[in-house]
Amino acid sequence: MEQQAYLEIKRQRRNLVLGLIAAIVVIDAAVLFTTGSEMETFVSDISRIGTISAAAMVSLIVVGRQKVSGLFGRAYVSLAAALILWVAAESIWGYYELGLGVETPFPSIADAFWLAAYGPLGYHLFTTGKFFGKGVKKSAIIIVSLAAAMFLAFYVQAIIGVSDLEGPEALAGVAISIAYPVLDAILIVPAVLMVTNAGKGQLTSIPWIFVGWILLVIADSLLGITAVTNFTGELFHITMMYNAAYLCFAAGLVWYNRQFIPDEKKLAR
Amino acid sequence: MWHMNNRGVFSDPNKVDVNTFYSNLKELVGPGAEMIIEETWEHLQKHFGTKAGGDLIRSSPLERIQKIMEIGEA
Repeated sequence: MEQQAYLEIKRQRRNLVLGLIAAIVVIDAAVLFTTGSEMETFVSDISRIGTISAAAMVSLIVVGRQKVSGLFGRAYVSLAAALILWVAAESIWGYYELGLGVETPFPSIADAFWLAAYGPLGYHLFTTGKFFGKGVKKSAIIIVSLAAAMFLAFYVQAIIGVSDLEGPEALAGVAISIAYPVLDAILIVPAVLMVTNAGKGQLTSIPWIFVGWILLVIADSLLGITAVTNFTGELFHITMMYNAAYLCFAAGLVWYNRQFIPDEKKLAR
Repeated sequence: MWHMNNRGVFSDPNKVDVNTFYSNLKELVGPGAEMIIEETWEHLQKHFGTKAGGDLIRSSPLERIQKIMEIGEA
């Protein structure tokens, strides 16, 4: 019976991994194949709005079923709040490009929503980090923190080096440009630690939300580097990375909803 | 809980072995099981006014829960 239960978990995990890979391939293929065409902006913006909205919807289902009390209740309400703020940010970005037909200004209102999401997301990552991170060695924490700090130092130096500090909004622009990598670097520490510490439980072997966050920080860094280096080439790979990150969040929430929230009907059987 | 049920942990609802429950939980969620037990103890304290007195003060949340289930109070 025990073996059967374990095999069932393995089967469900395999199905979710395959489903996630299929979703990433299909959506990112659409982004890739429309690059350079008239559809590029439309597909790019809609794909990001769609994937983050999917994650936000599943998070609301989780909150509805789990309610808001207890450590996990609060952690998942925070995640839902962060995802909803990202939906707003991506929608504003899309409205500029698709609705108004202009390039999204920097800084814009979308940045306010993106930055506001770091608070609740940080709460979620550090809270669930206590759960996933039992047994993490202090040496690992120090090494990952030092690596994040070094990356941040180089990155911020590069941003300041190429920033245009003239004009009324220049200072705000530079401050926001620096805020992203600082917050990313802070939150990447628990994410890397949890992913490297994973695999110790049958239901927790893949810390999806943390994997999603690592992908998101990579996408943020690539976007920052393109801005810093005045890169004018194609940016489709960054959109693909954001889509993969958002879908990882959705997969993590689907898994949590299925495996961690008791179903009264199933229990009664 | 559904997985635990499949593993026979709740085969007799009137007699649940907390240690079996904990070892199964550890297999399912890894070292995070400890945190779930701590949360459960906090929940018992908050909602049922459960207190760890006597020699249970220095015991782990798992041992405290085990004692409560044995004698009804700790």
